Amino acid sequence: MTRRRSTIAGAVALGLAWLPGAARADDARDRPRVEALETALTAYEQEGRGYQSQAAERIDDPGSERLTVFSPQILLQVRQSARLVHRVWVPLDVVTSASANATDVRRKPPDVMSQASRQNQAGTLDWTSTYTARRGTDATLRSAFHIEENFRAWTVAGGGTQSLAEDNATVSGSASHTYDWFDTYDPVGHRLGRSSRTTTHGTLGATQLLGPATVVHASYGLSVQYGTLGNTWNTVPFDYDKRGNEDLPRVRTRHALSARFAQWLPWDGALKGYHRVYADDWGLVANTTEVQLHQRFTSFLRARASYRFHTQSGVDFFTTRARPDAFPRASDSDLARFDAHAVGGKVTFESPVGSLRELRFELGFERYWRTDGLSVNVGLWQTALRF
Amino acid sequence: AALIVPQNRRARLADPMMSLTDDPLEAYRKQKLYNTREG
Repeated sequence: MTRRRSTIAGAVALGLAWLPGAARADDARDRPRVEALETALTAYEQEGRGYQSQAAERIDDPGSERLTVFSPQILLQVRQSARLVHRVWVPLDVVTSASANATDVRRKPPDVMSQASRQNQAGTLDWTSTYTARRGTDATLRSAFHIEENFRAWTVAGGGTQSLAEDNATVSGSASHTYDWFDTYDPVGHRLGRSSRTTTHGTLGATQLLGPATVVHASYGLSVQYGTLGNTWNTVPFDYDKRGNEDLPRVRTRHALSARFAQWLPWDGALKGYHRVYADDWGLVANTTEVQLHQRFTSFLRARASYRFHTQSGVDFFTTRARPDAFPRASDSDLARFDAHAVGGKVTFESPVGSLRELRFELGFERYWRTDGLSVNVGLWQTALRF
Repeated sequence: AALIVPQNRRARLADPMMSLTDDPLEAYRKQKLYNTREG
């Protein structure tokens, strides 16, 4: 595995070395330098119940969806030359959950009924390089590797951006491919082997200035997934106090059309809006709207308040009790019909300090809740140094 | 449909409050909060 990753990294580095900007790195003015270092600490605390979870008193009751996540992140941006900039980003997750309990390899068979916590550590290494071919024309290459206890994922992506009409308009496109490889389990928690899925994705977007205080953006994205599309430990209640595995189709095609705007406000503020329409071939249709209000109080202090509303129809085959021969079948509450609300806020302190172009601290909180009873509290602490 | 603002009239558009995209760390927080809980 290490050898394969080294080979990929070497190939990408070799490819970048052929770019004209990379050749100029020997110039004194183009010495590689760190442009930014950012860190974030995020904590999530979730409560709720879902029929896919076995963490319940009775076998046909919805089980606990209690979940806590502690997620540190670090991001480093390095400019290699006037034309080439790299961004290396590492998010980590420490997850303690109830419903994933069935996957712990250290217990055979696992106690999925009373052990209400189980830890999983996960991490990603994500490297993006952006090459400016000429003013207004950028090309991007991205590769990422994700690892956790029972899961591996590899992503490669590329994209381009072209500015038009003196940068008043921008068109962009990108494509990516992700391969997920993970362990599979039976309803009791015994490991069965490994399975995989792929996600191929493409996006086209356009941004337009409508005036000195207004900018709009629209994009369309298409994702096609193939393979084992569930986590394999989700279950579905059957009659006669039994449960079986969730059984999903092996293909899913997903469309998303989104639009957003930003409008400057005369009192040193900004209003931003976002709407997204989603549809897939599992019968799920969703609409999401978000509004953000930003306000600057001083040159170094600003704040943001946000509200988000999401409504989805649920997949055609969602059920809370299935016949054993039913296909497809799912009891995952994430695939059910529900509405979701989120209210949040963030305070930002930013100022140049000494040789730093910017020193930034951010503190935020968000409350998310669904009409099916699931709720999440999120706390966020973020810092940034720009050189 | 994607419709000239001179460079010297874009100061407001350059303010970070007017950015149409989230920074990567914020985007990841949103992805974890929303995308893992919504089908």
